[in-house]
Amino acid sequence: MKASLTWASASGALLLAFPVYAQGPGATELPPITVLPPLPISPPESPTPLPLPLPLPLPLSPPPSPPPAPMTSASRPAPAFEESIELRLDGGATYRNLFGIPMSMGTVEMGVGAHVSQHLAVYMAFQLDVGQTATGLAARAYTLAPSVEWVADRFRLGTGVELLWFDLIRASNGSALGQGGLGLHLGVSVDVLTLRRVTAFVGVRGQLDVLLGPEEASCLESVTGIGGLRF
Amino acid sequence: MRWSMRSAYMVGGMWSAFVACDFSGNDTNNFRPDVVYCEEALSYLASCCPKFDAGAVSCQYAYYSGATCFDKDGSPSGLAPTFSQSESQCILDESCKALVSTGVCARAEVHDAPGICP
Repeated sequence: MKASLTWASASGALLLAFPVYAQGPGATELPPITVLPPLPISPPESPTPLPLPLPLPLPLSPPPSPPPAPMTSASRPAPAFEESIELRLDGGATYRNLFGIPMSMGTVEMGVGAHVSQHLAVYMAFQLDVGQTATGLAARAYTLAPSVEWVADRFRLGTGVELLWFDLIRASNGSALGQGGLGLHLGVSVDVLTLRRVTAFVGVRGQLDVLLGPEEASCLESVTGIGGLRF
Repeated sequence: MRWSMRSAYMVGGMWSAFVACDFSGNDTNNFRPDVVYCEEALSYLASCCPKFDAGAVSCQYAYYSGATCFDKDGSPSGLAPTFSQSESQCILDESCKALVSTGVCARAEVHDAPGICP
């Protein structure tokens, strides 16, 4: 609009500047020609930018799916169980009591077994105890113990019978004072670390043995704290 | 076959004769409380009394009924630990200092007879 007015003003100025030609031939005297300076012609202004059209609604995308729920032990599929042969090597400290005489012993045990089902393992173990009584009498015990273990995740509860031979070394002449017996054991352990196929565990085990003499039987009570590896 | 039967009869006869002699009254098993306590007391005395010789004391137990195949009324014989269970317990209940001060160590060093405590 502003550009049109500018052009119109310029045209009017030219008509006023040349009245002779507008009147035509036959005019008597022409006035002096006045030359008007040209009007400045401004270039057409650039059109004002139109406002951007309102954004059309974008095509609807499917709503984001909720994050997956954390896996729980109930929803996690149980790993397929595989029967396996296991070796066990452990050791610890044993407290024993014979006729009311306390004795402390070091214990090493080696066992071989099979994990036969998801919650069941069977073992045959040999245990060696070496120690002394409170006054220094040397003592040894050899134990052969088949056992059954109930396996629940990291925990194991085992029990079984055992055959035992117990030796006490005399102070008087150094000979062995020995007796054999039968017993029961009960133990619980927990796996604390597993690297590849090696599992470290700790536990505690109680043993009650009856040493069978020809006249009378005597009891040998034991408690052992153990730590070991299972392969 | 005949020799096998004869051998079986022979073994059976020997076993019957052995059982008839009745040696069951004998007892040489030393895994007993009095023997174990005696050995424990010897070990304690050896650690408390410098001159005590544990090898000079016997904690042996044995009992022989005396009965034989030919004499069922034979006199019994046997051995008993030098320290009874109560005396061994008495020794074990004392401190080393008390064993020395009360003269138990001195008596144990020169005697192997019971009656040293206290």
